[in-house]
Order: sequence, then structure tokens, then C-alpha cells
Amino acid sequence: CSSILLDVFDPERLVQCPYNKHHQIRARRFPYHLVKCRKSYPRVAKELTTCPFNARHLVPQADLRDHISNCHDKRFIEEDIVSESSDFQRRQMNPVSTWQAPPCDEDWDTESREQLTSPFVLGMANDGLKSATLEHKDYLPAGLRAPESSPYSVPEKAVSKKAP
Amino acid sequence: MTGRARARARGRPRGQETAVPPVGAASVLCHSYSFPIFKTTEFQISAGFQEMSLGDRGGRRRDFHDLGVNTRQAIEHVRESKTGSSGIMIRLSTNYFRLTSRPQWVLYQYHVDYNPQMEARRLRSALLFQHEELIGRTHAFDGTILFLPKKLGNKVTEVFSRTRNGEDVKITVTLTNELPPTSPTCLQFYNIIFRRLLKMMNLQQIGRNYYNPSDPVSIPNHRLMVWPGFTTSILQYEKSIMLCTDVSHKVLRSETVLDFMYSLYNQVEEQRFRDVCTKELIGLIVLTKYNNKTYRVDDIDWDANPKCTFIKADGSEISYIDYYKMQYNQEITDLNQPVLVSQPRRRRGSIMPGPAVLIPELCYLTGLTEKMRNDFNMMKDLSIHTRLTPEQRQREVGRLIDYIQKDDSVQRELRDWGLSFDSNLLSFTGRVVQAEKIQQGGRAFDYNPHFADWSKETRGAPLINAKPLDNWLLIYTRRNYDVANALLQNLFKVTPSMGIRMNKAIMIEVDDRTEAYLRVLQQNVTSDTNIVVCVLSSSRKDKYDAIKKYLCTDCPIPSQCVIARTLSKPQTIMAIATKIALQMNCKMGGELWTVDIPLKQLMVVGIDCYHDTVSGKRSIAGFVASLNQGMTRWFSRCVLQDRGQELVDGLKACLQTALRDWFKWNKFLPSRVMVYRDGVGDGQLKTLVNYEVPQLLDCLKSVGKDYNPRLSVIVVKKRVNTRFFAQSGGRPQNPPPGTVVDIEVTRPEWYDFFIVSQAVKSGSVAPTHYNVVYDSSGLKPDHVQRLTYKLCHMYYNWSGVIRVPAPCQYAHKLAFLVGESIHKEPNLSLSDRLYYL
Repeated sequence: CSSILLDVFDPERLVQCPYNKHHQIRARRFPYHLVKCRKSYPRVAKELTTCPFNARHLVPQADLRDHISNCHDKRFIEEDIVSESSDFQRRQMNPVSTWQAPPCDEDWDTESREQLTSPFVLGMANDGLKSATLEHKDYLPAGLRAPESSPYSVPEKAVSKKAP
Repeated sequence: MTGRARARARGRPRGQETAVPPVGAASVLCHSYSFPIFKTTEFQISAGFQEMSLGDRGGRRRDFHDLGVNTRQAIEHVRESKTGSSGIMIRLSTNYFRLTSRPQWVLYQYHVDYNPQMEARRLRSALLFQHEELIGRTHAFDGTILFLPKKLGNKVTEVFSRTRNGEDVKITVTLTNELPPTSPTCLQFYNIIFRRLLKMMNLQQIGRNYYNPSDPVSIPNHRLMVWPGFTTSILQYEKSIMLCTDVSHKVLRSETVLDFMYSLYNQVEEQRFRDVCTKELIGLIVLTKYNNKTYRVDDIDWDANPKCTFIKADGSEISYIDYYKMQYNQEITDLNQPVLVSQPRRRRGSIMPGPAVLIPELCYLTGLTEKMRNDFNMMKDLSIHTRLTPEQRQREVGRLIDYIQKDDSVQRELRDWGLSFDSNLLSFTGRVVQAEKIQQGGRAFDYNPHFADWSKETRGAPLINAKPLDNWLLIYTRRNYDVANALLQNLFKVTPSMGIRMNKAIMIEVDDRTEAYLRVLQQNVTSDTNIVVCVLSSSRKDKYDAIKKYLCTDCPIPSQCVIARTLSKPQTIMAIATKIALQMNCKMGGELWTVDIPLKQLMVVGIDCYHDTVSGKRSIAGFVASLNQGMTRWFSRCVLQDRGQELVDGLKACLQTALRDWFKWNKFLPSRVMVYRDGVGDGQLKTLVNYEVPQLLDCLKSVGKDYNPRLSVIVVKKRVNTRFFAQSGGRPQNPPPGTVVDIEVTRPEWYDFFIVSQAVKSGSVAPTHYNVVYDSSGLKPDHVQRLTYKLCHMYYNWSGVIRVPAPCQYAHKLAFLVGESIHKEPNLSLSDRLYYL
């Protein structure tokens, strides 16, 4: 998908389909084509994985690490990480509001839980939903925390280069 | 360009997609319809004297009604019922008419074979209809597939015809299908038949819609002409197949391209004329009145003129003058004009036809230019004719049905097919959900639901979170010193009651040049600056763009631009200063008001796209996500994409950064994510469901094994043809804000609903359509509807209810600012403030 990385934004340029190299697709139609071809080539689709930064980038699973270290769109996440370093200052300038909304008369969470356990729900496909976290204490199961960095390693260099 | 714009640019409607393959990752189920008919590139239906080719419906056959996207199937808790329950009942009628057929109606589909093979479609048609006694007068035939309202005696019928050359041809007509009235093939068939009816009534097709050229409204003082017309579509709705029709107006200019060229010639220097003219005209749609067809101007041939000749299909050579004289009886007077070139977008069978050469003198400009749109008086005069009250609109819509009922040939055609339309507008019961309480400064305010506005009610109440103006700049040109000072004085008057602490601004006078503004900013903005306010002398875009670009990227400080003229009226300046103070407060990270949100740990996301292919700017996807319970703070990112790209590639990364920011604020992750996606064109739903929803799901999955939040994705559509009329007090009126419709005019295969959230002062209100394409939330439909309505209260640039949920409007504002002015991603240190308002 190196052609995607070219600094050309002409929507009419041709891009090669990852499912069949004989398909040359106009860039503007590329997402539509991917959706279509994914179904036509289920076997190839299983071997390909999507780049975390750009859904147009489909690469073989083994090449993902390589791709990630070279992907231009990584900047998007890097910038976020860089901005975090200057975040402390920002928080002080712009503190979170201490204002609290008065409690609501309604509680839709409870009602939705009731609905989910009602006998109308067919099948077990949504099992995950029923066990999903509803009460506050359940929101953060042991060991769960937000990602503090991208799940894909960002080279230290790239970050420090950008840092002011 | 959007699908709509593209269709408009092509000057004809878009057709529908043929195959409807099932969709995958987002677990959306789908019928695999059998659609053999429309596989041919050009499908001609002939009804004796009227012809209408399916090819007319667009080159790329996209499914612009998004048929066959069966998202509801996969959402378990709405399979039984997707209707809400709360609110007060209201009697509504709508611009839909039921299509009825006689009992046991069936459409018979035949395959027609020729031996020896006959290539020409016309010939195939002529040969077949030598046997009209067998086939009957009522038929639709594309050269291969034949539709009949009656069944032939045998499953396979063989007949013989003779060509003019005396060749005998064996024709085999084989029954392939018996289609019930609700079959998708039939739906397409109804639409084709209906278009045939419109043509019989002498309505002229322009774009997707039909207009009546014989009844134009002329607005001579603006040199405009308005053609009244209709937009129509027949689809399977919740309970029945219906015709949805709305009034549409085509604005034509009584100026030809040649007139335009002359007036431009007088305005610019000679050596620049061709360049300027090319730039102005290319891409415009022109109408040729001799055949009422529209064309897109792709090029201007300056070396050609009407005296030039070309070779006709029969091989003879003819000049443009003679051709237009002979073919259309049009006299060309200016023999030195260049010619316009229009490339056809559609293939005729396998042959790509050559470009159409048009004579500027015979081409009329259509549509409005940006300059005309900004002309207040023109738009006012135009709106007298185009903006219809609910009463007028209902009458006009009824008129189309009247035409249909009264026209004998139309009635005969319908009777022959065994079809008819209800003569009354569809009516049913909707609900008006409860009005929200606006929470501000520790108090709850009620507002008059009919105006959907609380600017009066909350005036003087302190804001939830007021940011101080300790250190701020006020920049103005010498001429605008007085208005700048007036703004300052009025800000001093209005800010105390809001709870905003304010010091006197650092007042800086500046020359009215872009460089001067930038120099002043570079010299005076420090990291302690709260905000920069610029009083601009005109609405010229270059200064605004330069200021925004500098203050959003190089030196990230919130900024507020005001045009001096808006401050010039002493009687309104206080109200304007109030609005500016609110806006400035939001831009600095302040919070104004909130409404009850009865869901905990809910992150709401808004996505919208900006694209402008005409000027070749890159497409921008705006992404905003709420950061707190009250939906008062929003995180934002934007993705720069290819020109004209409508779908978003980088959603995974966007959502990931939003989750990270949410965690920093809340120290836990959201348990529900609700995405409102605006800016989806007709016919893109399937790809959206298969391309964007998986990105969101992947992102949530990648956070951690134990993290399993519920996701809802709601597609928001503002441009719909559906209109509702409240039947109260004997006259049709606009339904009040909060009206929810989730029956009758919704689609059975979707989890969708309409909400009228805003109030309009004139004309008919347009409902917004919401389509829940993915939902693992388990929330009741009633709650999803009410949450959506609540979010329409949360847009801080308007003290009232707006047409879309606030996150959509924020995403729109962000994408617009970046796409129009900044052209790169703003500095991320601004990302938790509404700097783009």
C-alpha cells in the first residue's frame, strides 16, 4: 500500500486492491471496493489485518509490525502522546469543572438492564451484554485501565523529535 | 462531492444498485435479492408512445435509497418492536400516499431470446411487438426482459417475426418469475412506471426530480426563474408501499452563458478574461431550453465557434449553426462565441459517446452562486416562492395526486397495470416527548416548547463554569475603534451576571492588512493570554483564515472574530455582546448549561465530514467526543483525507485518543459509547456499516480483554423529503419541537425514527431522520429517542434546540473550520475546548 502513502491526494489515482492485485481502484472508491472484495475473498481476508491508524491499510498479519513502524498515519497517535507531555500545564490552566449535575429522576441504565433480562431476548448471542458492567463498581474490573499509550509501540525517537 | 451533488452535476437521477450482497463484519443481515433485470447496462422500457430507459437513472447504479441494508435484524432488542412510548399523542399527516394494487396482483417477468441473435435493442423491440395480440398493449421491455401484468398461456412461447430484410427470426419468450407486489424488483418497476406517468403529465426531469416548465414563476428584478416540481420515490415503508412526494423548486437564471461571458468581459482585463471565465464556468450546470436538458460544463473550446462543422452519425458534415437550426429550430446570432464542451458521464452500452458541444447563447445558467446566496434581498424574494407554509405545502403535494387522478392517459396506464394511489395524505399518530429542563447556575429553567429557545429565560443566570477574562486582547482597525470600545463596554455590562470575571482588554490597533494582524498576534499573544478578540472590518475570508490558522496551529490560543458591522447597531449591541460572551466562554473551556442525562458513564461521539471538491480542497472528518456526565465538555480531533472522500479511514485512532482523554478526566472508561454519524450520502449506508462500524468495534476491542462497553451507532440525516403536518385547529401546521415518529413512514428493515427537534419561524419544518445501524446498548427505543432529543439541546452556540444532536453540529463546525480556513490539524492542546465554534 505504498501508493497510499504518497503525498498525493488525487481521488482519481489508482490504488491496488489488497485482495486481488489485478484490481486497480480509484482512490475515492477504495473503501467501497474493500467492503465488496472482503466478501469475495474470505480466505485472503482472514490473513489480512487492518492498520490501527488507517482502515485503508490492509496488510498480512506478519507484516503489521513493519507496517506500523513505517505508517505515515501514526503521527495521529504520536501527536496525541506528545501533547500529553505538555498536558500538566494545560490541566492547570483549564481545570475540570467542579460543578456536579443534580441527580436525575430517571435511571435508564437500570431500565435497560431490566429490558435485557426480560424474556423477550432471544438467543445467547448478546450474552456479553448481560454480564456487561452496569453498576459503578463493575465498570473497572480488576486490572483494567485505559490505554496509557498506543497498543502499538511508538518509537521513542519519533516522540522526542516532535516534543517541543 | 456528495452523491446528491454528483447526481445533480450529471443532470439526472441516480439509479439503484443491482445486487445486494450480504454485509459482513458489523453483523448486518441482508436478503440476497434476485435482480436479473437490471444487470444490463441499459434497460429500455417501452410503453408504446412513451419511452424511458433505465439507463437514464444514472451511470453508476448506486442504491440511493439504501435498499437491502437490513440492520435491524441484527439488533435483538428491537426485532419485535422499535417504537417508543413516552409523550403526548399528536395527530399527524405526512406527504406519503399508499400505492394499492388489485388483490392477488402479480407482475410476470419473461426472458426473451432471439434466433438468430439480434443486437439492436430497437430491432428486438420491434420484432417482439409484431405480436402485440399475444403480448398486449401494456408491457415493459428492455430488449431482454419483459414485464407483463398478465400471464401468457404457456410457460414458453415461440413466435416468428420477419425483419425488413426478409430474415425470419424465432423469438422465445420464457416465464422466469412471478413477482409479488412487495418484491424489490417490483419496487424498481413501480418507480419506473411512476416516472413514465410524470413524463405523460409533461413534467420535465432535471436531476432526480420532475419540474413543470409550462408554469414558471419569474422574478424579473433578480433575473431568476423558478420551476415548480416534485421529488418522488416509491418504497416499502413500515406497513405498506407508498409514494413519498415533496415539492421541489428549480431555480434558473434568465441569463445565458453568453450574457454571462459578456458581463464578465466588461469586468476583467482582456488578457485574464479566458482564465477567469474558464474558472467561473467549469463545473456549472447549464440548461438548454430547446430540449430541456441539463449539462455540466467541462471545458470551453476557445478556438471553435458556431460556424465550425462536425460529422453527423450518418456521415454528413454540418455546421453547428445549421445543426441547431435544423434539429431544434434555434437561431444562433453571435457567430464568434466559443463553444462549451460537456463530457457525458454515462456509457451508452459499451460505446462511450463523444462530448456534447453546446452553444453559450443557447445555454441558461442554473442554480445560485455563492454571491447570490449571500444576497439577502434576493434570497428573501426567492423564499416567497420557494418557502412554503405547511398549508401551502400540503396543498401542492395534494395537487400532484390530483393531476394523477384527473389525467385520463395516466389513469389508463395505472389501470392497465392494475395499480392505483390513495387520494389522501397518509395520517397517523405521533408523539411529542416531554420538554427538557435547562440546568444552569444551580437552577432548572423551563422554556416555551413552541419556540424551542431559552435565551430570555436564562438571561442573567450564572453559567455552570465561567472562565475569567484576566488577560485578553482586543484587536481592531482605527476605523473600528468605536465599535471595539462599544463591544468592550457591553461585555462589562453582561459578563458579571454570567459569573465571568473580566479585566479590561489589552486594546491593540492594527492596520487592515493580513500581515499586520499576524505581526500583532506574534508580538502580543503570550501563554497567559486567555483569548484574542478581533473586530474585522469586512467579511473577507483571507484575514479570518490567517488569524484562525495562526491561533489554531502555531500559537494555540482561542480566538473570536467579529465583523464590525454586526456591532454597529446600538439597539442590538447588548444582545450581541451577550452572545459573544457566551461563545468566548465556550472557546476558553467554559460550560454554559446542561440537561439531565439519565445514563451513567456514557460517551457520546459526533462525526461529520467536510468536503468541497469544486475547489479541490481536502476532505476533513471532524470527530468530537463528550468528556463528562453533563455533556458540557467535548474532546475533538480531525482527520485530513483525500479530496471528496466521504467515509472516514482513521476512526480507530480517533476513538482511541478520545478514550484516552476520557480516562484522564474520569479515571475510568465509559461503559457506553454512542456515536452519531452525520454527513452520510444517499447510497453509502451499506459501506458505512461495513467500513466504519468495524473500525469502532476494533478500537473498543483493542483496549483490553475485559473491556466490553456497549456501542450504538446512529446515522443522522437532515436532508429527507419527509414532512409532517400537525392537524390541529383545522389547518395543517408544523408539528411542535419534540415530535417523534417511529411508525408508518419508517422502514421495516431499519431501527429508525424521525424527530422534529427545532422550531422554525417560517416555512415547513424538516424532521431529522435517525437510523440506528448498530446497537448493543440494550436501551429502549424510547430512551434512544429521548437521549437524541436531549442532545439537540446541548449546542452552545444557540440558546435553543437545534436540528441535530450537538455532537454532530460540533463535528460539523470543526470540520468546516479546518476545511475552509486551517487546512491542517489544529494544535492538540486545544482539543478539549470548543475553540471551533
